Amino acid sequence: MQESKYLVVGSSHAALQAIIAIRKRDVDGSLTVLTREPRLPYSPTILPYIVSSQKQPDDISLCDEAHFARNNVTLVRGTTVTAVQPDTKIVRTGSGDEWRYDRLLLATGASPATPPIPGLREVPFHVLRTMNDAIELRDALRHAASAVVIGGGLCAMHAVESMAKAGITVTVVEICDRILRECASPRAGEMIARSFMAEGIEIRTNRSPVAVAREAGKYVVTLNDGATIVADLLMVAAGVKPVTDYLVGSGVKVNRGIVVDELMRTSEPGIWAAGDVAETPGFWGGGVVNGILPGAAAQGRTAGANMADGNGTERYAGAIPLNTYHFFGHHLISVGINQPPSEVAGFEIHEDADDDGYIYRQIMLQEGRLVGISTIDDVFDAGIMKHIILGRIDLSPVKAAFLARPREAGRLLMSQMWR
Amino acid sequence: MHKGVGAIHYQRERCQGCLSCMVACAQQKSATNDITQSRIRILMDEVSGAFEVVLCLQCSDPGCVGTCPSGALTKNGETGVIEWDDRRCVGCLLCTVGCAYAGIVYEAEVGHVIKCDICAGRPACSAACAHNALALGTV
Ligand SMILES: Cc1cc2nc3c(=O)[nH]c(=O)nc-3n(C[C@H](O)[C@H](O)[C@H](O)COP(=O)(O)OP(=O)(O)OC[C@H]3O[C@@H](n4cnc5c(N)ncnc54)[C@H](O)[C@@H]3O)c2cc1C
Repeated sequence: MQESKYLVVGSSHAALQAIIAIRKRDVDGSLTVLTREPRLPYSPTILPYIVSSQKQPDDISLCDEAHFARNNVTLVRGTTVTAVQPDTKIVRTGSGDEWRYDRLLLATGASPATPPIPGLREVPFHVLRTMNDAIELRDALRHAASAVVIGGGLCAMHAVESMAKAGITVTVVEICDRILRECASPRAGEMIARSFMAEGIEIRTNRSPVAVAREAGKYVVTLNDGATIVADLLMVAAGVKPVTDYLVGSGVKVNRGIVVDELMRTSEPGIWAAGDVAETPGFWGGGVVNGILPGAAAQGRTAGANMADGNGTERYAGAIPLNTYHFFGHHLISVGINQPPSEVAGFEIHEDADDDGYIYRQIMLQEGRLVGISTIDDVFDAGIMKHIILGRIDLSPVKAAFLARPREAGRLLMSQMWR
Repeated sequence: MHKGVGAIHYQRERCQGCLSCMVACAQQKSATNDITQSRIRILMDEVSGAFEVVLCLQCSDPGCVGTCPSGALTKNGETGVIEWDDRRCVGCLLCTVGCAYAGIVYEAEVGHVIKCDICAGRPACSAACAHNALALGTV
């Protein structure tokens, strides 16, 4: 049995930020990181750049072994946690090792979901979440002429762009009425879809696959409208699900993700969770699995601070959507909501689009306060807008200036506030 | 959030809003007079007439570093400067989500994110300020 005062499971954004936060408050309490990843820490967000060969697997590490040594952290790579016992404070790994902890952080992130499509589980297909996935996909692109991608979210569209740039004919199948729902308003999503279609990519919305088969070395995907798509390569990017399999029977409460409060505490004493695995309070209420890098980083910091302090001084402000997305030379930035929930009144939407010039801006206010801003090729300072939303800053006195020039108005507000 | 050592300190009461600092920065960083290239920005509140500064604070616990997926941003332990590595940057703009001060920003004309690097300890903005409103020091 090995022991560590702080035991962190996972070695990605949430875990790395937690380590920094712990070490700021407790310089020598033993701290161990267990991760199933054999490589040095890297971000899943970087993987599209591996697929496109813009980056090489060894060029993008978030930190090196020296970083862990400097911070007096033991990094145990290639080790999968398989069970957690909160009553005895023991964690078990795939190789049968046991670790006793005093404070445990679960930062195991998410894995691609496999939609229940008949035949899918019987064929090999690509996903994109780990470095191995990215290398396999990159290599497969060299031998494929056509591809079908199931799902039209950020991860999917990143991969689709790489495929198209590699000269592959791509068809995207999206079950919803539009792609990129998580980060684009209907109008912005339409503009983005148009630029993909202009590159020869086919996007089929409101369609779902009803059968997948492999015939004569090709994939045959049958859709609910009866159409079939035949392709050399199949990628599934239809959402992710938090990695919580090791918690079965542990008593740690899991809903869509591991349920945590604003201090990142789980239902069990001595156990915290952060990042894509966690279901946190949402800024506008409810429980949210945020699924974004800035959320994972912020939650990791909050968890680490509270694990070390134990006095609950660091509170998570609540999850809001935050996305920056670069596609075919354009930048989408979206902070907050991009479509008002239908049941809530009092929204003011200012939408301004120049379809030909390819410029888009939407600002959404509720009772004089910013709840969402998104633009295409009209870059603003995302971090400032995030704080304007989280601070519930009343924009009424500067509304006209804010609507006319949000970037400048935002900078002025923030620099006055941080004085 | 903590403010760092080695950041450029702005003294509002001394600033006259002449923008010499922005021109000097643009010249230093891009060899042009194009102030969109400037890593320091002086703003004026048109209502009150007061000046404000927008600049990287070289935070000791930097949010931008924590949201960078490519390892392109690092806090230099010796100088305190947050360094940006253009060879590692993929232009995703996630760093701009992590910064609450617009200390690292994207300018379309420049084509990548830009931030103050205190000119290796000899900031051009500070040298150009006739009113001594900018000094290198601990914030
Ligand atoms: C292709 C792609 C593009 C993306 N683009 C963006 C983007 O543009 N913007 C954005 O904000 N977000 C983006 N994301 C999402 C972002 O990468 C995640 O939100 C972020 O990585 C979450 O960090 P995390 O630390 O919570 O978990 P993860 O990054 O998922 O890491 C989980 C860690 O836990 C380890 N682990 C898992 N299970 C176990 C176990 N049982 N035992 C031990 N270790 C385990 C893993 O090895 C890994 O180290 C993208 C993701 C992908 C896949």
